[in-house]
Amino acid sequence: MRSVAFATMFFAVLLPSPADANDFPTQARVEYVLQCMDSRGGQKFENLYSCICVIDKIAETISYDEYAEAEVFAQLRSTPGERGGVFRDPERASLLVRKIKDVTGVAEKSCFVTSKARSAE
Amino acid sequence: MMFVADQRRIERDRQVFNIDRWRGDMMKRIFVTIVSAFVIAVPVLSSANSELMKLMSNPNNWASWGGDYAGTRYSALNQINAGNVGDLQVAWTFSTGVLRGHEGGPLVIGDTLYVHTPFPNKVFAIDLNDQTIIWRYEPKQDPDTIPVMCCDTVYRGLAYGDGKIFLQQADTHLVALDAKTGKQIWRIKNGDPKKGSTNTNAPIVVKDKVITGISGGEFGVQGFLAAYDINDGSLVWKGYSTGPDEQTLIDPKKTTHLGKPVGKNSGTSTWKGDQWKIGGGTTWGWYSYDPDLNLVYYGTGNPSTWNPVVRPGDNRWSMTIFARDLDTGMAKWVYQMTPHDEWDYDGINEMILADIKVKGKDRKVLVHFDRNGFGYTLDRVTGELLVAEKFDPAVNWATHVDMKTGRPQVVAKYSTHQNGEDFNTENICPAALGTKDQQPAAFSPRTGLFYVPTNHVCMDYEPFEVEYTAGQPYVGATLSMFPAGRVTGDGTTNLGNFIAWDASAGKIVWSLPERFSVWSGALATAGDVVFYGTLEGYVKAVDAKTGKELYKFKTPSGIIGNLNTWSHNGKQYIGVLSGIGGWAGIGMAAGLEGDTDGLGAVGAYRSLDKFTQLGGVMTVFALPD
Repeated sequence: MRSVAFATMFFAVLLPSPADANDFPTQARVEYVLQCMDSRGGQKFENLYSCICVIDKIAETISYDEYAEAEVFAQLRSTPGERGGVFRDPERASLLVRKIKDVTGVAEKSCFVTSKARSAE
Repeated sequence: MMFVADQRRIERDRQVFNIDRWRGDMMKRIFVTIVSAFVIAVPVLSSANSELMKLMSNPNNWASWGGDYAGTRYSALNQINAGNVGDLQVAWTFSTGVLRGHEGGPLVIGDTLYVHTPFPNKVFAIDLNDQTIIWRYEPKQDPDTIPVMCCDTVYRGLAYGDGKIFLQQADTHLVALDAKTGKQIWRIKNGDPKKGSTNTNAPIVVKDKVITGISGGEFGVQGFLAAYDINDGSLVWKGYSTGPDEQTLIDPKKTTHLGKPVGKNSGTSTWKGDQWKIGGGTTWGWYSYDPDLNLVYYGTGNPSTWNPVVRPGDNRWSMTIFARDLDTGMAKWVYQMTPHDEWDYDGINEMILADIKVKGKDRKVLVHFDRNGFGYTLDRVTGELLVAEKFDPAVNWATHVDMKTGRPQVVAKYSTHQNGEDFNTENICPAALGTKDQQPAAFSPRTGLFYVPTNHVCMDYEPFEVEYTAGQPYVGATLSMFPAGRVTGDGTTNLGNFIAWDASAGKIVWSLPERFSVWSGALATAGDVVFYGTLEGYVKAVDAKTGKELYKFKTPSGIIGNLNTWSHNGKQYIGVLSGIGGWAGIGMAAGLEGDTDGLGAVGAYRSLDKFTQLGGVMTVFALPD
């Protein structure tokens, strides 16, 4: 928990975002949990609990708007051709992608997402 | 920083196609089956025109990419309006099973919806009564086509006419399918992928012809527009963008540029030597048609190579708006927007035909939002330039367009040619993607406004020397892109805007900042609602007069498709394809950051294969009963 708070403070300096927004819509949480379980080998209680834990922790840390923005940068930076440049080149893209990666890493650590489970990805 | 010349990154389409999952069971309803009279084909020459025009004039259909020949993307349907659009719900969805970017939108003819996919360009005919698949068509295409497609394996849609569905495949095959059965009627080849030509455009059907173009400006293709006979696919005419008069179908005395005859061989005289042969000027955008004037309108793309230093001259007729006679292909008038392009500002964006007042006078106009950042209003009868104004205030490469000569007044410090090879020209606005890319705008005759999805991105641009080899990328420039706010200094980081434009005054009426470039086509309706999609996957509905957001819904993936609308059994529907790069909930896992060495989709799609078989999704909205 402490590390989450630390990470939040650290990034708040770079990109201010309300740490207590907790405004993820149900749709976004369900989508995350379904895909998360899928990536960890399917619908088992173990996966259900850890995936819920992760998305809830992510949602406590950053606002949904910022998460959705980071998601686009993360997903589209591999877009081929000139169109992809706009997702690779802006400073904000790297900043947000790193932020989301760190936030997810911290969340996974505190949610018993084992390295074994993660390597199944 | 990205190296656009490196095309090795564009890997083969490694997607294994799973059985397309039909997901229409979300809403099982019993519909009274009404046999539509619309799809009855009348096999008489030129009747396709009147049949299609009749279909287009009935707003229950969405019979061509633009809804009508004028490309207005306006629907007279008003069941969904500014007062109730907030109540929209997802009525049904359809997964295409194909990954990658889904551009364009579905056609609706009577009881049948036709939808396409990116490469391998599948086609589905869906019965709107029960949302079952009537037929599907999956062409077999050489995957070697993929590496020569410059910008993802997109496809912008089908055309309907004369009881046929016309499919323009990526490998340049143009295919006529029986609209009722999906059976192939004829198939012809429109180009050669081995030499770098491919197709991504939606064709249009006019009279007894199907009109199509060609992509491959990054591979030194000589661009053209072609008309094929809808009955057997035989070539009727082909008008090149560059070359001698017999190839460009330009009459040196009768074809005009801003009212003056263009003179002999205008398509070769502004090129060095034989460069026009690999001069680009491709035609991968949208085509419009005016039945009264019998003219087809479209724009041509960038000249090859991107490096302007090695191709001196105006490079005519790249970056040009063409008005061609439908029957003969002869050019009536041309207007070159960006002579001697130095920034890759392709001129291929849609031409919207509207009848509006300009400076107090009723005019038949053509309105075009060019990648170069200028919104043009021309008299579409004569080609006279009426208005040319920036539709993003950040545009800085030119101060203005000289209304007499039609030439943009280039600012020296943003001229990549004047700065020369291996010099990094900084802070050019817009970036190579332009202030607007292909995603078509909409026009509402009720408000008189144009609704335009835009980019708000600038770039650094460095040309370098490159040799031409057939079938190889012929680009020769390195680019870096960033939000326009970095250049304007206003502290903003948004990469796009959705604007309402007054084409008579050349002014922005309202502008909605969007976090990302808006790559979805717009839709305007008689309910005074305007729809568009975002890269986060949101479908947004805004008030046509004020721009106020009235509704949003997050679809499974980013939207680069066009919003279309139709009505079935008395209910209005709004439909859009989503699908680009990532799908909801994926991509947050470790490993994506810094994964740019697989610029060719390798990175993103590797993980996608494991995570989902969803592919592109068409989401269809309606008001609850």
